[in-house]
Amino acid sequence: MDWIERIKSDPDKTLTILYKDLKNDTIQWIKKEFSLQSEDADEIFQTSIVLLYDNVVSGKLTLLTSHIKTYIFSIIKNKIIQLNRAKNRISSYDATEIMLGVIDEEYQEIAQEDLIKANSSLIKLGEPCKSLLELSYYQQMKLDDITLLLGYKNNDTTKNLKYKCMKRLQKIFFE
Amino acid sequence: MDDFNIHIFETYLAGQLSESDKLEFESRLISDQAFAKDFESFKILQAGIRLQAMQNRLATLKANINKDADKDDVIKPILKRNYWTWSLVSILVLSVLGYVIYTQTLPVSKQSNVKQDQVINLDSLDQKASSKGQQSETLPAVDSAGTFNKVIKPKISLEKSGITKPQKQIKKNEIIADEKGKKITRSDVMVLYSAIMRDDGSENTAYSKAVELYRDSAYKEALDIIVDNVDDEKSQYLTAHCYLLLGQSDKATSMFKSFIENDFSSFHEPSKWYYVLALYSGLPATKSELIKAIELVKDNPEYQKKLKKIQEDI
Repeated sequence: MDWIERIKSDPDKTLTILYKDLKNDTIQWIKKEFSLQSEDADEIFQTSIVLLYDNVVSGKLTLLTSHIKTYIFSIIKNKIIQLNRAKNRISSYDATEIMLGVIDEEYQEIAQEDLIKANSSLIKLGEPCKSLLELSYYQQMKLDDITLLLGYKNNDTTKNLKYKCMKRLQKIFFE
Repeated sequence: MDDFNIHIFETYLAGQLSESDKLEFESRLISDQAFAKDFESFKILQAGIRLQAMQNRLATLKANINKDADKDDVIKPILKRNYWTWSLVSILVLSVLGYVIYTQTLPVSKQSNVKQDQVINLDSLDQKASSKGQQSETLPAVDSAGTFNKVIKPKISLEKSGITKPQKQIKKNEIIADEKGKKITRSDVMVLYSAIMRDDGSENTAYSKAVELYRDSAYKEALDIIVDNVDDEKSQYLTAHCYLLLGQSDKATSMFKSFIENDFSSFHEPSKWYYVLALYSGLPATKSELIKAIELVKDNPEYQKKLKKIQEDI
């Protein structure tokens, strides 16, 4: 099974393995290339692994044409450092800000404040809605699979709950 | 945002609208402000879901890394510290094994000082054989890991957690939650939702410890451990059951009611019956509420017999 399939089928385990396997080389490389401290380098490396996962889940990465290490290095180089350079803030690295930057690049019409507000609305929304919406809208999981995973009665129940959750989330967002 | 709009937004963003529907959708975005605003908020919320999912993924990764680091911290120093001890033990074990193999492979004549012409006492051999047989039968069943864990594990985990096993508070058919003595018995409430009873206690969490205590009828102790886990739904559900079994029907009532009111909750359905029981134990003050609550479960064949008794008491 290749890395993409492994990430899809067992992200927890695969991403941890990737981190462990590539940690030393990557952190050394970041420190050398961008003159950063170990702590910042580690934070950037962890975030880049999550961005790799995001690319797999969103379907942007379907086939690896290079070694996975090279791909992660390119994420670090092209996205994170580029984003921070654009902001003239090479000195501090916060994972959420990096992720916000990546999303911001793709949804340019969305204001960052709105994105942060949507994020906090989701936290207020709580479970099981949060998981249900993530499975449906982020992981693009089919209704059948969500029904099975969350133990709902049938697909209609799951669909209705999803709509209810989305409406409730919108209500919290506009409160 | 209504269901139909959500469906249209999903289909449009997935690129699954036909060309004509797509044109119609886009022209509506221009002409219908409310529709456009709904669509904007839908996109923002989707992006928010993505950000939240990425944050969760990062948190999980960090937790896994820390977990592995903790394991390494524990295992490596122990191995390192005891390197010489382990080496000595290994040499000793190998020596003993070597000796045993050596003596077993010696010719019979060299194994003992028994002379070839010595009379063999058959009775004593039988006795030895039978005593060996008895010994093996009386050995504890440690050969099956499952049995061993089943017998030993609850005790060990309770001891490890530093909680002394309390006295049972309520006997099986002892009447609880009613001073006049006609209400709920422990056995009425023991049939719990699978989330509680199926917990295998494998996770060393406060919840697992509470489940063990609950199973031992130590409701007060279980409650002390989980009552503050307000963000964990199953802990809250177990808390409600503890309140019910401790006779604090008002608290149990309000907790089960909140599960019923939350139709997204995993405990939405099973809470209905326990809500009825909690109200029943609060009679006569809860009479009118109980009558309404019975409506929630009256069609469930599982509760018919018990409901009849409750209705008689009302």
